[in-house]
Order: sequence, then structure tokens, then C-alpha cells
Amino acid sequence: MTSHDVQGADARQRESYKHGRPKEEYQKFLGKKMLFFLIIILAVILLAGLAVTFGSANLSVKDVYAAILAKFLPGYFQTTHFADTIVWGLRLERILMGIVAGMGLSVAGAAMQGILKNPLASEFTLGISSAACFGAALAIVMGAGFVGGEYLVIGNSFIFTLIASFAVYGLAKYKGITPETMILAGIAIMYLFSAMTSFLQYVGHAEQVQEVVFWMMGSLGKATWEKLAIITGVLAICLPYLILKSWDINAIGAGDETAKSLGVDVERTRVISMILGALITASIICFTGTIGFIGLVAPHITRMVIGGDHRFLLPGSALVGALLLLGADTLARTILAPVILPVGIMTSFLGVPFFVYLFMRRRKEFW
Amino acid sequence: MVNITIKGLKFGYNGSRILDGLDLVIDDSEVLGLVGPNGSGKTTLIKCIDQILKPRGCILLDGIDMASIGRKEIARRLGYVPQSSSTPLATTVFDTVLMGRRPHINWHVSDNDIEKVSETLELLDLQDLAMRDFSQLSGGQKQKVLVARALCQEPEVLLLDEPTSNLDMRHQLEVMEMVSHLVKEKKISAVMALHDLNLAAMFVDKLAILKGGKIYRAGCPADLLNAENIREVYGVEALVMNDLDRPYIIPLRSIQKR
Amino acid sequence: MDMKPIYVMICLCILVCTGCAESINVIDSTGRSVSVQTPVNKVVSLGTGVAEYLYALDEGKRLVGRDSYSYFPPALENVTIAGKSSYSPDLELIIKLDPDLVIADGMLSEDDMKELEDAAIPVMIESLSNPENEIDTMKRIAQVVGEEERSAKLIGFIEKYQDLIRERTAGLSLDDKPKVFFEWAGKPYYTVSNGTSSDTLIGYAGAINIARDLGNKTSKYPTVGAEWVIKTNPDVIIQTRSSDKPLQESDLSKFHESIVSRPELADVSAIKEGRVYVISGEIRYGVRSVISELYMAKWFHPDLFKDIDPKAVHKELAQQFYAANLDEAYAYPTES
Repeated sequence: MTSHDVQGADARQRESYKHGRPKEEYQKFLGKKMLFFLIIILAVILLAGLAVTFGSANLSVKDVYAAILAKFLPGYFQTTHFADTIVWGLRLERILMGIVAGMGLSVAGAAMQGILKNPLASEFTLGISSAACFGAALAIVMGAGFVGGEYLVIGNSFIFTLIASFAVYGLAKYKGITPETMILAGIAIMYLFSAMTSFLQYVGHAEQVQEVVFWMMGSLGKATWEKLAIITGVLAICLPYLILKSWDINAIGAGDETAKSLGVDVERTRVISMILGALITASIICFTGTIGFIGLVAPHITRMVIGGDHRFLLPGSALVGALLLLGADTLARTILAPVILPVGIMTSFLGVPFFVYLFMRRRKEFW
Repeated sequence: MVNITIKGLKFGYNGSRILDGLDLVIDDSEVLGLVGPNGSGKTTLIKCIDQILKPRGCILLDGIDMASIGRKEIARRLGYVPQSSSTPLATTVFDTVLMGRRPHINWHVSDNDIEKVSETLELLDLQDLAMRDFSQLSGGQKQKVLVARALCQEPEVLLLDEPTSNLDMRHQLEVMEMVSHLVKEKKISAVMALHDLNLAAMFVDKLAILKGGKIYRAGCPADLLNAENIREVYGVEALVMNDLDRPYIIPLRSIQKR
Repeated sequence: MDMKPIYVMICLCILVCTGCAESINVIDSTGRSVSVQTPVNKVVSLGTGVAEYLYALDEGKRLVGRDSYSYFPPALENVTIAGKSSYSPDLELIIKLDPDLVIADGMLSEDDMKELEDAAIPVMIESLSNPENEIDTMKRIAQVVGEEERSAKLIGFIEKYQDLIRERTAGLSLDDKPKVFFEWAGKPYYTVSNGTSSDTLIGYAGAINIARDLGNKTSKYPTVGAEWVIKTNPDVIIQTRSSDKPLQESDLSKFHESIVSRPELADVSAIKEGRVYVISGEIRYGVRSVISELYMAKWFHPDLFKDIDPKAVHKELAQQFYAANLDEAYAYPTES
């Protein structure tokens, strides 16, 4: 650097005093992200606390909390069997499912968007949701599947999701695992399964078709503690691993070549992230049916607030996703009470204003 | 101080050969310029050295075949600086540079890493831009940030792919000056693909001219940059002035093919 | 020779001949005026429950095409399927069959109707899915095909039991009418509101559908929350299921089990008192909807209908009008 520049640098440094050293500024920046986390966590807790008091059964706030606390401190709180059934047997399951499913779907979505460098990537574009729908339709219309009995639909949708992921992987690998090949393969798989699902709907009789349609709209109403445990277990294994990989996903965002030059095994990271994302998504939607947009909207909102650093984006999306899904479900079951709207419809309504907003923004980049 | 020996390097896309039996040795703490016409393989060579592309042939890093060295290890020793136009990031400058620490960290970012980034930004006079959005910088600023990122890898060799291509005069000079300075200060080598012969003449210590996927000539700029070589390699009739402390090329006209 | 008698004979013959090829005008359920050439010898039926009814009138003589949802009586299997339902008719096949009349329900599209009419096939829009106008529809159809007598017999049978139910439930006050939660299409908590056929039947049978006021202009089939059902505490729970083939007792008992085993409903009156029932969708429409009514009436007011055995009535109807034996299950649980 020339002496002229050095002088200029000193001058600038003296002038812009409010610009501290980059290190301090960065730490302030990180601090803001942590603040965001705190706020969202609080919001989720508040919303959950509120949502548990909503419902058709006329339970007062006191009754509800008495029922909750009575489970842990039976000596101090009295509750009725009725309140217990409602709170522990219905409401809490639903609320926790909303939180856990929201977290999983958002993280999977954020990870897929990261490795594919595509802000519109989600479990839909990679054909995962369509495969799950097909599995469910196959079980409902044909009664055919991998696991018998009451797990027919669940088992089918889960396994077909995995089949679709491997199909996408296989197709993409043939041409090289780049974002373009994966998305193209994903779209091909999506159309294939959609077509087959449509065919099953055509062949099935009215009641079966209705069941398939309802499955596709998604619902948190069938939550049980066992299902919650399974999903939480899957998340507990996959989430930390994905977050560990967030550096590599960041690097991939800078370009495949840059990432390689920084020491990242791009192909491996892509494949592993996709499999983990598919696993998380599969384990959720096999129980809830397809719930759209959470995996798309939550990461975007999070990105707009705290930026694209996946170390924060992944956990942040999880929290935002939990908030969104819980909010959507609470709306869905209170807005026309006692009629319950499918949560998948509410989340789709979320997506529309979001896209309009994105569209109207002045900034040229959406990413 | 590192030695990179390249022997018989071959690389092609879809049946067309870009590098066709290239030999080169890089082993001084100096600035090596790679020049040549479009398609001669400058960028490809840089990418092959960094193992971004997998060529046939042999590249030895201090005597060890690079194909057998782990990616992370390579990233700790070679720093790649792509063209500023190629990275569509929407993160802050600080985070961009922080990515250069990736070869040294697993997940946890230590205080040391942040300190290093901070220092590098100050060294390159980028501290005012630390929290700015990378995508909103000018071309020259972006290029400097990318150099900063490569520096954070603490490499022994910097590989730069046409760093001055999209920059105006002033920023071209700034970037080249920065690289020269760093090479001297940090005792590292720099290998730069350049398209501007005059810039090359101004700043490089050693020059390698590529033609048809091979090294046509390598040596001192003053020796290599003459009208005959330029005619042979570029197909251009040029006037070379030697009055200044380094050669200066004035292109006259392109040579018509018979 | 006097030729006058011969001329009169010839004139009479001509008159009789033209009389044979006369046509009648009917107004169908949508108010359209349809001109049908009599006698009607070939009918394609795509309307809900219509094929079953037509069979009762003439043992299937006239039926040349049916919808795939009509499979009772079993003899209908021999009748060609002319389309899955009125929504997707096989027009080419229908035109090939050259029927004198096509009866379809409201799901037939305007375009399809036009195609048939262009092929000189008259189309009547009729359906036997609404208990409120069932009898009128049956009379109308009978008139067109010329089986008024037989139809009167069938209607008489049906009305006998319908009137019986009305009579016995006439004096019931609101408190006497049990609260019913009706679940249908096999999706949990998917119920029906005012204006649906099931709601109407429940009303006829002397009970109140707890969800009757939950419908609106766009949907008469709301999904409700489990909590609300618990709160409302119905006295009876009924679920109806359909299939494209007859349901067996084991199927119905499985459905029954899936309701009573729901943990959240354990405290609801209906579960506690064992008043949970499953009805097959086959008997919810058309000719046999009266059987549903009978089952429901007996479940709602067991003391008022002690002497009635819906199963026996169903068997009688099947024997008398279909010459069929019933070996599938239609309701569960029933006292055998």
C-alpha cells in the first residue's frame, strides 16, 4: 500500500470514531443475533402458554395451569380428570407437536436452501412431499404398504420419502451433484409421484379420495406422546449434526469452487445434508401429513433478520418455524371454533403475503 | 517457503483439451504472473493447482502428490482468490473474511480467529467496511475482501484468478500493490493469472506465458515481453518500449490470418 | 261390399301405431322439461341410488348401464358400468348402448349433457340422496318408465315404516331427543351440519345432530375439535362408512373399535353407555334409507321401537323387491 493510503487510513480511523475495531463491531453483531434468539424463544413460550388455554372446553386459565402443574407437583395442585384429559390428552400434545414439527421442517428447509443455493428449495421442490403423499395414498386407496396395521399410512409415507431422496441422489450423482442437477432431479421425482398420486385418487372411491385429500392438507390433531417422542428423537440426532456442518454450508453458499478451496468436501456435505433434511422431514410429515411453506417461510424470515450465517440461521429458523406453525395451528383451531381448519391451509395462507412482500421489496437480491 | 512442481498436467472439458502437458515450477517467495490469450488455460491452471479441478498429470507440493493431500490441509497452505464478480453473497464483509478461517476451525470460532480477521481487515484498510453487506461493495472493494479471506487461511501461496479483470485503473493498481506488499511482508508466494500484460510487467517478479495448454516460455518479464513473443502467442503486432524500468507494450493491430 | 268398416279399421290401426310411439314430457328435479319417447326400454343410470331403485321396479330389465357405486343388489354386477359416477360418464359407451333415457345426478357437466342430447338421448337429472324429496323423485321416475304400480308397492312399504317412525316420535319434546354426534367418511371429527341428508335422517329419527348449526354457505361438512365433542357430551355417536364393495361385519366392528378406543373420548356419555354405532353407507341413500332411519330410531329410542327389528325389515325389503338374501353387515352393533 502506498504511503498515501496509509495516511488516509489513519485519517479515516480518527474520523470515524464510532466505528470501533472490526472485532468489537462483530461481537456486537453477534450479540444482536443472540438477542433475536432470546426474543423468539420467549415468544414461543408465551404463545404456547397462551395456546394451551384456548379450546372449546370451558377451562379457565387457572384450571389449565393447575392441570399442568398437578402432573409435576401433585401435592400442591388439584385438578379434575376432565381437565387432565383435555390439557394433557389433547392440547399439550398438539402444541408440542406444532413446536417440534415447526422446528424440524424449518431446519430441513434452511439446510436444503443452503446446500442448493436456492432460496426456493424446500421439501416440495425436491419431491419429498409428493412421495410422502403417494405413500399415504397408496396405503389409503390400495391398502398396500410396508408396515401393516395402524402404521400403514405412516410407514408408507416415511419409506417413500426416503425412496424419493435416494432417487434424487441417484439421478443427480449420474450427472454430478450440483444444485442444478439436484433441483432438476427433484422436480422430476415430484412430478412422477404427483402423477401417481393423482392416478390413485382417480381410481379410489369417494371416501378414500377424501381421506387422501385430508392427509395432504396436514393436521396436528393426531399427535400422541409416542409420535412426539419419535420426532424429537430424530431431531435430537440430526439437528446437532446439521448445525455442526453449518460452516460448510456457509462456504458452499460462497460458491462450489470457493468452498473447495477452503477445504470443504462439497459433494459429501451436500449429500449428507440432503439425507438429514429428508429424514427430518419424512419423520414429521409421515405423522402430520404435508404441511407446506414452513420450510420456506421460516428460513427466509430468519435470514432477513439475522443474515445467512448458517451457524445462527439453522437454530434461528427452527425457532421461527416453531412460532409460525404453532401460531398457524392455534389460529386454525380457534378462528372458526368449534370447526377446525387444516393447518396446512393456514400455512399456505401465510406463504402468499410473504411472497408478495418479497416481491415488493426494492432490493434486487432475494437471497 | 514452498515448492510446487507441476509435471505433464492435462485437463479438458467435454473432449476439448485445455491443459496439454504443462510443466512449471514455483518455488520462490515471489509474484509469478500467468499470462496468455483467452482459453490458454490460465484460470484452469490455477484451479488445478488448488485441486478445485482434478487434472491428470502430477502436481507435487513439497514433493508430495497433491492428489493425496486432504482438502483441509491444502486449504491451510494455498489460498484461492476468485474473481470478484463470481461470488453472489449476502453476508457481511466480516463473515466473508471469517470463512477464510474454515481450514483452521471445526465449528467453534475462537477469539483468536476473530482477532485474525480483525487484523487482516485492518491490514488491508477494510475495517470501515467490516459490517457492510458484501454484495453492496464496489468491485475493487470486493476483490480486496476476497484477498483478505484468502489471507486468513494463513497460506504459503496465494492463487489469484484474474484479480484485476473487472476493476478500474485505480483499483487495479491498488490490488496489485497490495499483493506485492503482502508477498514481501509475509514471505509468501503469489501466482496470478493476468490478462493485462502491462500490469504484469509492472508487478510480477517472474512471468510464465501460456499457449495452447502448455508453458510457452517462463522467465523474467523483461526477457519475455518482446514483439516476437507477443506476435507468436497473441497474434498481435505490438510495439514494446523499454525506456522505463520495465517493458511497456502498445498493441498496434491484429495479424490477419492468411 | 261395404268398405266403411275396413277404412275404420285402417284408421284405428294407424292411430294405435302412432299412439305406440308417443312421447311424454316430464319436469326433472332441476325444473328442466325433458321429452322422453315411450315406452322406455333401455335406461342408463348414473344418479346416486337410482340404479338400485330401477332394479326394484323391474328386476333390472331396463337397466343397460349403471354407475360403479351402485352394486346392490349383487345382480347389478352383470350390468355394464357406464361411468364411475355422473361426474365421469363414458359418453361413447352410453351412446353405443343407445338408451331411451339417461338418469344422472347434478354432477353431470353441462357439456356431457349436451353431448347426450345431441345424440338424441334424453337426460333427466335425478338423485335419491336427499330423504326430503326421495318419494317424489321415485314417483317421477316410475311414471317415466311406466312402472307406477310396482313403484306404488315399494313406496307403500317405505312409507309404512317412515310413518311409523314419525308417529312414535311425534310426541317427543326437545329434552327427549338424544344428542347425536355423527361422523362420516371415516375421518375423525368430520361431521355434517344442517342441510345434509344425514342430518335430515337424524332429525326424522327423533334426535338432534349436535353439529347442525356449524355449517355455512361453503361447507356443510365441518371438521370439529375433539374438545368440543367432549364438552357437548353427546348421548349417541354414529359413524358411517362407505366402500366400493359391500362391508363385512369385521370391517364394521373395526371401525367401531377405532371410535371407542379413542382415549380422549373415554368420558363421553355415548362411550360410557355403549351407545356407539356404525352404519354402512350403502343404506344411507335411496330406497333403503328408510332402513337407516329404522336403525337410528331404534338406537335413539329403544323403548319406543322395541318391537321393530330393522334387520328383519331390511331382509323383507330385499326379498320382496330384490329377491336377494343379505349376508353382509349394514350396522354394528346390533342385537341379533
